[in-house]
Amino acid sequence: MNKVKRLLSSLAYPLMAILTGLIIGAIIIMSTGKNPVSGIWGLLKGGYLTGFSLASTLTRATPIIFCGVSAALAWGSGYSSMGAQGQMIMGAITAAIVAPRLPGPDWLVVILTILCSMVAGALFSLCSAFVSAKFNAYLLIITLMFNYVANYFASYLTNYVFLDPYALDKLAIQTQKIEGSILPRILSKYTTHYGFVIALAVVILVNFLVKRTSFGYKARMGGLNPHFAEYGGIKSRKTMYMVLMISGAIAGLGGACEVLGTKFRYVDEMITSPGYSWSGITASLMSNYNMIGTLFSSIFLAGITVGGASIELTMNIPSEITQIIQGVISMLITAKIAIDWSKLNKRKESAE
Amino acid sequence: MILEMKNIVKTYGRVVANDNVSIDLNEGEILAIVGENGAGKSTIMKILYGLEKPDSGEIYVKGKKVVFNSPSDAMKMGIGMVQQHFMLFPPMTVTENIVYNNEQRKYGFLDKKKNIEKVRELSEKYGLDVDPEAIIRDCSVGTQQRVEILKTLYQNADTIIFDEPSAVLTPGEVDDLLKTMKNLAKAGKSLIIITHKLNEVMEVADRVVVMRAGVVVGRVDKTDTSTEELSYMMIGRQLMNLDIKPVETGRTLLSVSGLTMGSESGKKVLNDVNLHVDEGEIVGIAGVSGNGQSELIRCITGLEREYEGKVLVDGHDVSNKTVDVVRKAGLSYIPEDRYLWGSATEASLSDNLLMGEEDSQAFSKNGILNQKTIDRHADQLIKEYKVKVDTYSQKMKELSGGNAQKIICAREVERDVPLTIACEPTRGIDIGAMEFVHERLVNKKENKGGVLLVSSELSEILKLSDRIYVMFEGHLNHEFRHGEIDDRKLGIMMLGGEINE
Repeated sequence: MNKVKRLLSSLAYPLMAILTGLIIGAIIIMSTGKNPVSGIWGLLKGGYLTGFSLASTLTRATPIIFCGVSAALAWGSGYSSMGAQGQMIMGAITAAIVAPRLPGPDWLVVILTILCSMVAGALFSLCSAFVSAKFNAYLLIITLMFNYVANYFASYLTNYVFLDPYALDKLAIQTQKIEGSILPRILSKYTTHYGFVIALAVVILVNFLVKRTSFGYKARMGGLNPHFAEYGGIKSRKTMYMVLMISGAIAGLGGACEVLGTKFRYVDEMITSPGYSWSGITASLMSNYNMIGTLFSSIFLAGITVGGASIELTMNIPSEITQIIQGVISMLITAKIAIDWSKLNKRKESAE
Repeated sequence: MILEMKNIVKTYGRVVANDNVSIDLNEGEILAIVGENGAGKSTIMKILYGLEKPDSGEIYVKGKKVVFNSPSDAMKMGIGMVQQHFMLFPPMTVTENIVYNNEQRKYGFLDKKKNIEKVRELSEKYGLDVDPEAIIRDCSVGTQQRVEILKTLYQNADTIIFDEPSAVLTPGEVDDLLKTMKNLAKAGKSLIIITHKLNEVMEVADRVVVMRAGVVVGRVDKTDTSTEELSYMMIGRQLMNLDIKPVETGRTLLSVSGLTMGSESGKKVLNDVNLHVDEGEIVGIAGVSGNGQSELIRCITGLEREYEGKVLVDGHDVSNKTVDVVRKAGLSYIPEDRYLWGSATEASLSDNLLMGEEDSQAFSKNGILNQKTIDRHADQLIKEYKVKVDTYSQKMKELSGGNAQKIICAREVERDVPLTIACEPTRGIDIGAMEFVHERLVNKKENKGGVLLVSSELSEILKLSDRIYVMFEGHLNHEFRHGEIDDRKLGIMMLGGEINE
C-alpha cells in the first residue's frame, strides 16, 4: 500500500508537467483556429492508439530509450553528461562502416557490429570524461562540445571516405547500404525492429545494475549526495570512468540499432536532426533517472512526435506543436531540478 | 498580561504539531518553553512571530486580538525574535545591521552619525556591549547575538523570543547572555526563551511551560520545580543515570603526530597537532567551533589529504590516504552535519545504513547485493536503536532530526571497527535520543573500542571523556584527565586563556 502511494507521489510531478504541456499545446492549436479537443485527441490517436501508429512510435522510441537510459545512468550517478548524442553518432558511423565489410554469417556480423559500436561509444565517452577530469572542466560543457566533434567527424567520413557513389538518392550524403546483416522487423507489416527488444533488455539490465549491484549502489549514492559518497569512501575516479563508459556504450549501441534497424546506412545528420538525445535526456529527467520510468517517458515523447506528424497530415496543424509540448515539459522538469540543486547547495553553504 | 495565545492548533499533514496550546506572558517576565525536539515549541513560536499560520486559535497582544500574516506584522505589534541562525549581513557594520530598513535620515539621506548615536544609546541603556562601528564578520558569536537583540530593541520590541540562544555560545558568553536577559526583564521587557538546557531555565526563567508531543504537559513556577522534575515532564520518564566507569586501556587505536595544515592565505589552520586514542577510552576535543576541529577530523578521515604529519589508525599508517583506505584500517565516523555528509535524504534507510559496507562479504557476492541480508541488518539496527519508523524502505528525509541522527550513529557505532570518531553526535537532538547515543558510545569503549569525541557541548565532553584535549587556533593546548577540570576553566582555555592558580 505504502509502495503504491510512493509511486503515485513520484509520478505526480511528471504527470502534471505532461498535462501542462498538453494544455499549452491545446491553446496553441486553438490559436491556429482548429478545435483543440479534436487536435489533442488526434495527436494521441495518431501517436498511440492504432497498430500502425503504435509501431511507428516504438520505432522512433528505440533510439530515445537508448539515449534516455544512457543519460539516466550518468545523471543519476551525479555526472551531468550531455554526450549521448556524440556517442550515438560514433556508434552509428562505426556500424555503418563495419557491417558491410565484415565477413561471416549475417547474425554474427550483426553481433560483432553491435559490439564495435558499443566500444566506439564507450571510448568516446571515456575521452570526454578524461578531458573533463584532467583539465578540471565541467563535464556538461565538454560532452556538449564533443557532440560537435562526433557529428563533424562522422560527416567527414560520410562525405569524403565512405560516400556511396551509387546511391539512388544522389542528394542524400550517405554510406553504402547494408544488405543482409541487419536487425529485422519484429512483424513484417510494421517498422518496429529487434532494436526495440534490445532496448528493453538494456533497460532491464541497467535497472538491475543500478539497483542490485554494489557498483550500482556506489553510483547511485554518488548521484543522490556526492558528499555522502565522498564521506563513505566510495566516490572515486574508477566509479566515474565506469559509469561514463557504460553510459557511452549504451548510446553507441543505440546508434548501431538505428543504423541496422531503420536506416541501413549512415546518413549525414541522421542522429542530430531528429533530436533523439534531447528527447532521451528529457525522458530521463522526467522519470527522475528511474530506468523503467525512462522507458515509458521515451515512448510517450516519441508518441507525441509521431502523433504530431499525423495531425499535420490529417488536420493541417503544424507539427512544431509537438516540439512546443516537449519544450514545456522539459522546462518544467528542469526548473524543479534547478530548485532541488540550489537547496542542496544552500545546505552546503550554511554548513561551511 | 502583555500576550496571550489561546487554543492554538497547527497540523502538518497528519502530524499534529500543536494541539490546543495556550500560552500567556506577563510584562517583565521571563517565560521558558522547554521540550524535546518535535514537541512543538518551535512551531508555537513561529506562529507567534508570524512565520506560520495556525489552523485555529487566537492571539491577543495587550488585550487586542491580532492576526499575523508575516513577521513584519508581529514586529509592528512589538514582538521580536532572536533566531538561532543569525540574520545579519557579515560585511556590514553593527550599526548598519541594526538600523537596516528603518534608518535615521536627514534630508532624505542616511544620517550616519545619528544612527551610530542611536545604537550606542540603546547599547548603554540595556547593558549590551557592542562597538557600533565594528564589522559583523569580525565580531564574535556572542557579539553577533547582542546585535540581534539590539535589532529587536531598535524596532521597539517589548516581547522578545529567543530560539535556543545558547546553542552557539561559549560558557562565558552564556553567562553574559543570561545576565542580559535578566537586565532586559528588569527594564520591563517580556521574554520567551525556547531551550532544552534546563540549568539555564533554572537560572533565568520566572515560569516554565513544558511541552511534549504537541501539547502542554506542565506549567510551573521556577521556584516550585527542579531540573529533575522538568526533565521527567519533558520525556515522560526518569532519565537513566549513565554509569561511566573507567576501563583498562590497551593498544593505541589512533595516533596523530605533527599534523600541520596551511590554508590558502598562508595561515596555519592546524599547527603541530599531536593526539592519541587508546582502547577503552573516550577522548574529547573541546573547543569553540572554527578552531580547526573540522579540519583535523577531515585530515584524519582522509577527506583532506594535503597535510604534513602522520596519522596511524590501529597501527596502520594512513597518512594522506583516501577515505576508503582509512576506513578499512579500522575507523568509523559520525560526521558533523547529518544531512550534508552523513546521509542521502532521498535514499532508503537500508541504503543509508549500508554505506561503506557495500563490498563486504556479508552484504554482497561477486558484486551483486544481497538485498535480503541488507534489509534484515537494517531492520535489526532500527529496532536496536529504537528509531521511530515503519519500515527500512522509508526514505531518510521522512525522519525527524533525532531519528536521522540515530540511523547514522547506528551505522557508524555498530560497525565492526575499533575506533569511532564522533563529531557533534547529539547536536540538535532531544534528551531521550542524546541519552541513547551517549550510552552507545560508552558501550563502545567498554567493548575494547575507542572514541574520539568532538563536541561544542561542554557538558557532553565533561561527562563522557576519559581524557580531554583543548583546541585553540589549530593547536591542542592542554590535556586533562576526567574530573581534573570544570566547565568554567575549560571555557576560559577554549578562548585561549590560561589558568593561574
